[in-house]
Amino acid sequence: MIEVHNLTTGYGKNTALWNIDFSIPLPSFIGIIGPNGSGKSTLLKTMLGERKPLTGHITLFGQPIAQVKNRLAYVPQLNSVDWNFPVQVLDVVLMGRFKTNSWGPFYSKEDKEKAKEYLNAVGMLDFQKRQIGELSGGQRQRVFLARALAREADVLLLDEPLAGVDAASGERILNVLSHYQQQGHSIIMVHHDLLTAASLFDHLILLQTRLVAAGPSPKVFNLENLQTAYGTDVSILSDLINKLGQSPNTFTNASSQ
Amino acid sequence: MISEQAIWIVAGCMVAALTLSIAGIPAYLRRDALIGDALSHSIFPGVVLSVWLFGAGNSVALYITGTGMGAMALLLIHYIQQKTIIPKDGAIGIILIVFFSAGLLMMGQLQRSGIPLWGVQHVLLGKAATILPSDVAFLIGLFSLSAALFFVFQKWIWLQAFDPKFAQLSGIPLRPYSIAISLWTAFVLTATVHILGAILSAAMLLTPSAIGHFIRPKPSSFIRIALLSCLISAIGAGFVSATLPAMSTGALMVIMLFGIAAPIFLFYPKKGIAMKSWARQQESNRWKEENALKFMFNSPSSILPIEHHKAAKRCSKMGLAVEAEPLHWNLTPEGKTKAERIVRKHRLWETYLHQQLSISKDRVHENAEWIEHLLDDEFEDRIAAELKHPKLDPHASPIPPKNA
Repeated sequence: MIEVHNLTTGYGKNTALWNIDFSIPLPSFIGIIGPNGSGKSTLLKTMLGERKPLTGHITLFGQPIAQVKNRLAYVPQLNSVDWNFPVQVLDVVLMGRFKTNSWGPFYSKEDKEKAKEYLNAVGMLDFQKRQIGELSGGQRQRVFLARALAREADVLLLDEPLAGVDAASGERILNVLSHYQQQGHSIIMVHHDLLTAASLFDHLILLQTRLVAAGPSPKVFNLENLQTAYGTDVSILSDLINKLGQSPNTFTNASSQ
Repeated sequence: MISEQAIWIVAGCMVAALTLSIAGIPAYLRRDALIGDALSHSIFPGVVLSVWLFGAGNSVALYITGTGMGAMALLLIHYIQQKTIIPKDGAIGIILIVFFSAGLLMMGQLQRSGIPLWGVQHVLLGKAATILPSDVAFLIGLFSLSAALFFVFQKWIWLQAFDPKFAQLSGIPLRPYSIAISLWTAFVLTATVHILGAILSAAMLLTPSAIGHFIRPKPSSFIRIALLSCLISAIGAGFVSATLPAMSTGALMVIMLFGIAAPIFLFYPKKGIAMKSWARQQESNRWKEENALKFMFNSPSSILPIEHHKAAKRCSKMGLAVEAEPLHWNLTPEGKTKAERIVRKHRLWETYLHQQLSISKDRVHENAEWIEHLLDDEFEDRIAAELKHPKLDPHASPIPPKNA
């Protein structure tokens, strides 16, 4: 269970999130959606403990976030690191195996095997000796995903993992995520593509600085909620209406994807 | 003849430089290299203070006041960064100058009150000629400790520098870790100042890592190259210092390191700035030569326009064309084969754009003018196959066959 109580965050006088309150059972595949500037990334960063809330708190598995950090893994946005950094692909994934209580200077044999296993899962094992700067955007994202998977955490958090990623990488990433979720892990992901949101996630959090709705996808993903969040932006909503008209089953088979 | 003292000087320079480069790697990786400059400047008032209070020969006092001043500067930089909108480099610039000025003022005060200052001058500019065997022994200890710390904490160093947010999530306490690294850097700098000089030792923190990173972005070779380049400059600087004691050792070492770095940054294959610019020039020449050959192929009896003259002369040196009579150029058999390939690529691409992408035939020429220089053999064959080996382009000009 992830519970968010009366959460308000902001920079100075600008509120990024206002009085957010919901709870969603785990394990599930949760999408955070909403228009630009609606606080999607801020909510994710607060869940990670990177941003401190002004009021309210978040609990995960019944405990404050700070006490369960070791059960979280995170895939950041690609622009957050220096890609000229002197490090190879396998070393990046090994970072996912870092534990503060293992004091040796090297990663263990088991860690290396695990790292290779997850590199293989994202289809990047052949690139293990490459310098990370030599990879394309989609390949970098897959390496970051492998690093997060290597933590073998209960909850995986991702900030728009499909942004700036080629179609083949995107598909691979979604496959790996659904496989990971089927093993009983939870995924919380910021997503901006409304057309795929309903079929991808079993639970949705729809934001517009305030919480518009949170819960099972079929209950959240309706035109009334979307209109509240996105205003009456005709192009988005008409696209959606078309999409919904074409595949009425989008809602019902959400979690079986 | 190499005297015993010269050997001690060279050894001292080597160990000091190695220690600094190792201590500098975490800062360089964290893109925090300027912190070395801030520290080396802020150590200076600490050194003056130690000479003032405890006399020139007291190493322990020097380490304590030097590291203490360094730590104070770091705290102030951190405070300014947290509490104001001034960014880190701004905070470093301000604090560095304030501490250095304070040191200079204290030194002036000491001079007026007649306290002997010979230790302080060396701290400013560095003088390895004054090195004692006990100093070398101490430096070896310091180097061993630095290398051991680096070895044991290498996972931490790489993880924290690459992605601090991920490191925090993995349980690395960022603030204590940062403070520990900065304090260690301050201590190493203090311990090496009287050999290399306060201002110049900061360069040894940063430059070897930069050379290593430039040449080999892979971690292990990056460190090896960094340490090797710093060793070479240290040996050179040590020998010059031993023979010419009036020279500043730090300045010698920095200039020697730059003497290693500059040619590498300029001429290293594929990465050097001059090599890259040369490769661009070569590429541009190739385009011009191909255009000249194409002109001779398409208009065999015409006068060669002025813009092709330089390229045509290069072609004649390569045996691709000859100037039969003034301004009239003919292709040699090799030149003809080469020109046909370029024309083939041009016309194939026009056909491809026209047939597959339905672009009107009066719009395809411009794009083909670029692609003819870029299309490699594999894509040329695949496009030809895709189009079922056409004989004519959209303008009804013949497409030369590949093996003509």
